[in-house]
Amino acid sequence: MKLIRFIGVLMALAVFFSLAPVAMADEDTVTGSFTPLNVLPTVTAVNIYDSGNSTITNVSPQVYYFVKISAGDGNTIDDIDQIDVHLFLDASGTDPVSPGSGNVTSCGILTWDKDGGGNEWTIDAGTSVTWSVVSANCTKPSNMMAAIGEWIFVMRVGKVATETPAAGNWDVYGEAIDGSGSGDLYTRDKEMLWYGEIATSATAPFGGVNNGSGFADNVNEVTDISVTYISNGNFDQLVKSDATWDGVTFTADYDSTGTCDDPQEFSLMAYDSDVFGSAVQVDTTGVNIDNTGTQTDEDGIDITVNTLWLKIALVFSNDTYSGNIVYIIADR
Amino acid sequence: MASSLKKAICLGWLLALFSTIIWVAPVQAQGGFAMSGSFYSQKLELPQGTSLRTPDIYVVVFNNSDEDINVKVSTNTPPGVTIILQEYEFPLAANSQKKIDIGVDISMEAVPGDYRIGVTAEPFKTGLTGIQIVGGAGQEADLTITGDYGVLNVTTLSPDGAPVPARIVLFRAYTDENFEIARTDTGELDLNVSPGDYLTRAFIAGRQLAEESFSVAADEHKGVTMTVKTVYFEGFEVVPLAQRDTGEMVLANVVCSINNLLDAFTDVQVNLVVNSDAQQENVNILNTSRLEQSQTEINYNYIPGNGWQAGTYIFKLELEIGGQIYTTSQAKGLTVDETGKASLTTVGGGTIDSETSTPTPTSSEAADTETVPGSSFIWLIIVGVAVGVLLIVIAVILFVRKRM
Repeated sequence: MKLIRFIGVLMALAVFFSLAPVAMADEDTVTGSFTPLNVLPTVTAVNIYDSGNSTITNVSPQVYYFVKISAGDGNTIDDIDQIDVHLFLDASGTDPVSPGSGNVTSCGILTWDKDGGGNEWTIDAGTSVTWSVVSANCTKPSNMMAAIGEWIFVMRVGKVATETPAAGNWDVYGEAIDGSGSGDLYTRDKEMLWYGEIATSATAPFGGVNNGSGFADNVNEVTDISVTYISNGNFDQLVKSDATWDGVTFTADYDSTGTCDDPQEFSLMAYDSDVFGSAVQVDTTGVNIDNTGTQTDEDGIDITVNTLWLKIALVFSNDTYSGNIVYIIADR
Repeated sequence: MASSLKKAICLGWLLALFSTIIWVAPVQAQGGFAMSGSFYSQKLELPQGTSLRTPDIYVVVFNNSDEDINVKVSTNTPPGVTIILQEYEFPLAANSQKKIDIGVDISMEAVPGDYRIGVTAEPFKTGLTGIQIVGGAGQEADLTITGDYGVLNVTTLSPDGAPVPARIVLFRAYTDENFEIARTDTGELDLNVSPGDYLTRAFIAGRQLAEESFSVAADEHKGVTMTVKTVYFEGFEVVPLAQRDTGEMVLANVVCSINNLLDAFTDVQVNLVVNSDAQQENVNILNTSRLEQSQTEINYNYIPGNGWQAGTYIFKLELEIGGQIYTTSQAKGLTVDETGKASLTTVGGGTIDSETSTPTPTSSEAADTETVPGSSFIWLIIVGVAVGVLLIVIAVILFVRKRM
């Protein structure tokens, strides 16, 4: 009988030991030496956002954008040493790999360097002075012990980043780098929009003009009007006039036909050289004086011999007139 | 009559002799007035009697000079067409920029056909005397006015059919390019469109969640519904942890983030599904009564019920809401070789995408000692079963001996 009791106790202990691990599994821990495999970081998303937090397809040079890259690392994102985002030209639309080096017209490389110190956020676009990253507004994940995080670059594309009106486009390449490798991701097919900039400090000193005069070589002529054009694509040079010029007492009306038959009418001809025979009649919406402009460098192209010819009607009141002549850079 | 003519001639001569007009030299230093934006790149195709409003059609005006200026924007359109700007004149500080959204109104009187419409911006100053030369910038866009149209309704719904206030963006689709023509943040878009091909996308928190392509015919009433899932997995990784001395696989650390972009959900579970050559396991790793609009980190240590066997393990996460699978993660692969060492593999391709398959104790990333909750599970089972079996064997022997 005692033996049967003893056997019963043994059986109970057997059942207890068999079930105990299941009951304890959720709570127990074990201590040992483990080595986490150094997994490569991954890039789960990289894209360009506008100030409204919408992804964009079209990129305007010199506009502030937010380039967001989400990267993960199974060893925590603190393992990531460097984040790069390349914004580069895909001239033929064939989705190439990134060129890997900055260029003023074709590639800007944004970098977050964990050990960068004062240069934690940088941009490389070759010789460019107009690509920029706003370091003070860039952000990195607040919790570097997490498995995934988001880095945000605030940046501007350079003035002459090549416009992509046809098959070409721009691609975004994001790369997260840790001690032994990297993970990356491409986001393709952004369009670089046209950018045109114009600058002039020229004057139009017509001086005293005789009634009924104008539209002849060296008559009411102002030349050497210097205008600087900067563009990332093809552009036209246009000239227009205000519809009216105001005197102290009188008002002059622009005549787009150039005949100035009626009193107080005036008109202009213009060209990008001083050859009167090539001059074109100016209107009030913009007439093309040159349709051959192409992509410039960041310093632009100076057209230094722009010339204007003024004509006024025979009947025209003596006054000092004020108004605008507008040189225009326009997309083509 | 002759007297009047003589007077007029005399007056003309007097004017010619004495009315020398003074054209004051302009004195305005203009530097760096610029324009960019998407307006010029549009191929607008709009029916008569419609309006176009979208922030994706715009110009940006830059004052890159060192002085504040005023800017005047003028438009150039055919009869019946109006370009709508928020502002036609505005101040622009030195070294600043301004985005101007461009809308287009097509009246019923507009004549169908192809046109070019334009926007020009130019700086101006008030109170200056003389003829000023200034630099302006402009863009032109293509516009086609059609007489035919279809009626379009686009909505976003959740998987269970409830309306979702997602951002809907509608594009006119051409062979090589798409042009945005409308957007809303309400989850519903109604408008008349010209016949043709279209693409619509749905976004929440800047993330694209759905996309549909379709065509609209003349006089057609077209309804398009996009189903959007507002919870998704991100950063799903499986990190093998090996014994430091032997390099043998001990456990897989599963990390992931659950992103909930919109409303909170109730009764949410996350299951880890592991398929191996030997078995399939489904482990509940998160069970919450409420998943808020936020990012939730998951970190779970996995050991197979039957221990690590040589072969390939495929890991996947499933998110259940109300008992129904709402979304799944991508799959991750892990291979354990005959020596018990693990390496990551791409699922389906079989190629190795990790830098090493054998952890090295000398690695700077090697943990000296880690306490891993739950990692003793298999050892407890083994020891417990062994003790239990031993006790049963002793009991059986004693029982048999008593019988004998």
